Amino acid sequence: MFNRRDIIYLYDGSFEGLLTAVFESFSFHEIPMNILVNSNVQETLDMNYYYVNTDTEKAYRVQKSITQKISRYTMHNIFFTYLSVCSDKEMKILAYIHRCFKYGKSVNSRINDKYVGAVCDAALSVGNEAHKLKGFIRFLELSNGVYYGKISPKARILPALILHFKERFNSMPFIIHDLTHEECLVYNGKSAEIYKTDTIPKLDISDNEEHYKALWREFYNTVAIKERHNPKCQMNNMPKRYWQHLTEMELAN
Amino acid sequence: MDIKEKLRILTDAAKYDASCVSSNSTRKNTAGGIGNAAECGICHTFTSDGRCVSLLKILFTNYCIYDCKYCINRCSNDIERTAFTAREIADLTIGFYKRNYIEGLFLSSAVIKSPDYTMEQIISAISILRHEYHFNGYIHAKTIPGASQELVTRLGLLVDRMSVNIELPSEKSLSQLAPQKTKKNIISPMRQIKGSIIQSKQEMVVYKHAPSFAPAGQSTQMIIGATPETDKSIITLTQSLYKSFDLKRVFYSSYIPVGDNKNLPTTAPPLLREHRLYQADWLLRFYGFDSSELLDDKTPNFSNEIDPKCQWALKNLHLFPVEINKAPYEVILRIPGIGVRSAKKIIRARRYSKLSFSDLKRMRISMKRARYFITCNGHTFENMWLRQELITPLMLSDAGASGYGQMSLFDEPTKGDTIKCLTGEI
Ligand code: SF4
Repeated sequence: MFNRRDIIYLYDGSFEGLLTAVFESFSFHEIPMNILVNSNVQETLDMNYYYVNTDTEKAYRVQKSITQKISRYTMHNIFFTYLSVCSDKEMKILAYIHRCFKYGKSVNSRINDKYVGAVCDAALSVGNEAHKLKGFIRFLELSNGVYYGKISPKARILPALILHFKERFNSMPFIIHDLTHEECLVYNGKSAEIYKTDTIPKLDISDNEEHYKALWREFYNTVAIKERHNPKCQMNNMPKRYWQHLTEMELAN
Repeated sequence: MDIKEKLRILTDAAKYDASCVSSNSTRKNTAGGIGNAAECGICHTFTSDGRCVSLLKILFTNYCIYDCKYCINRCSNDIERTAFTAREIADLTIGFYKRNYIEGLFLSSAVIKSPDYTMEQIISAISILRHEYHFNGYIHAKTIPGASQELVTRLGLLVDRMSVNIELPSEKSLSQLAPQKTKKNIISPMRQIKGSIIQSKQEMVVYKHAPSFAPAGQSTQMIIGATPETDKSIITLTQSLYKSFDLKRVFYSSYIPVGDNKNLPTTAPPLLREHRLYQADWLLRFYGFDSSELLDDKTPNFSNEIDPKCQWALKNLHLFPVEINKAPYEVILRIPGIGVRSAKKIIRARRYSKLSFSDLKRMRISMKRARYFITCNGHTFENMWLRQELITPLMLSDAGASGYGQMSLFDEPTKGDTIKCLTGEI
């Protein structure tokens, strides 16, 4: 493997694109200076740029070899790191994949390795955010029977939420709107799809909604034990950045 | 009375119950149904006292024919009373669940008319949820002491978790403060539930679709600080409850003064006590400790300054320091400040290379307490001089200076307590 300080790979930002870039790096026997999303880059003259052509076949081969030779869990780590906001995540993923082939199945036990640690940590923090949001998302009932919820996550969390809510709500259609990344997860009661959106749709809210909101606030305020008031502990468990979309905290804001 | 008013009264009456755990069940959604149980448990919000809200925790009613002295709902107490209908409970649960406010329902009740009558009301609310609304989310229900075996069985087949409250840590206290309840009335449903759970698990091995009985197990709760039992007798009782009834959890609930009975204290015990009992409870369940190791007749109560694991370690300094690269898992687990997750990380990582303090740091293992008790490749932390007579005062000064973990979140220990601790045990 050559360490190429003079070339930057550019990919389209998709997961398949990133895996294609990994594939190319292995097939060229080189490690680029960086791997970046093409829309975020201002090219400069002293650098070479290689445009990665997203190729699902190549991406699939990387994925297959990692799942088979190492483990599904390793692939999950890579995917969650890709969803994260961790800096240089593409290069960390590349370095991690190198470690995967060097250490084999034991790779995730080498948490004292810088890159293994970095990827595990990034994946864990995305996992944590997804776990928190599974609890903190609030849905509104719309007049057409669809349930709509807004979130402002740090990471691009939507793919990590699909399975959970699909299994839970079954035939109940729902939309989760990620305001940070301007994406919508739309589930029609059978299958789910993620769309780009940059507008907040006009919502036709069901008449039941205010009733249930009021009941929920009543419950929330009553269940707290006043003698044990402990806002610090509350805030540790439920950081303020989640409050804006919580029905019970709307008034506290 | 409108539903909001009922919700306020019957939430208020239920809120002191400590258990709001929704984990341990793997109930799956069914075709056309709604809901499932998340094995690891999900918190949906946190109240201003810092507690996790996962379940809609309410009483079916607060009308009560009993007169337990420590309870706000006792019949001799003059309070506003009401009852839900079964339909109201089911609709609230579904409405909240679809909006992702909750993981499920925790239904308990005071005793209205008779134990059997109350149980039937609880069963009918849960039946609507399970059979009419096809709700597969988490349900925890309390059985009413004195209800018939048949009703306990019916309830068990509908819910994920069942609990019978043991109420107070000794029979003597129970007969003094809850004269209408008997140990027998509490223990026999516990035994029945344990038997049914085992039986249902065996049947499920043979027939895949055998009905499951309380798949998330049973738990119990006791009120602490209302009666004079020591921490030692409480954790000894806890341990025997885990052993005899396969309980999933024992919950402790700090007494909140409600009565004017002469046998009851007029002030609440410090929350720190509840916290220490929970810490000790974890040591029993996940760290391989026996209650007799933690406390004895000489020190029958936990310390205010340090957690039970540190307290044990300071009593057993001859077992330390522990070499991180050699000690078996069980021993690593006993190092103060090292939790189950960290212990597992250490065991995994050291298979491939010897670990140094900087490796531990990279693995994000906290050295705050552990540093006094370990060596890495024979070295102590920053080559600190580990001498018995130094460790104790160091740890105590840490405790004072940094508010010792969660200490600052709880009532400050009184000066008297601190002195007792310094002169007595340490
Ligand atoms: S039976 Fe339950 S609700 Fe009634 S007084 Fe006793 S503890 Fe309270």
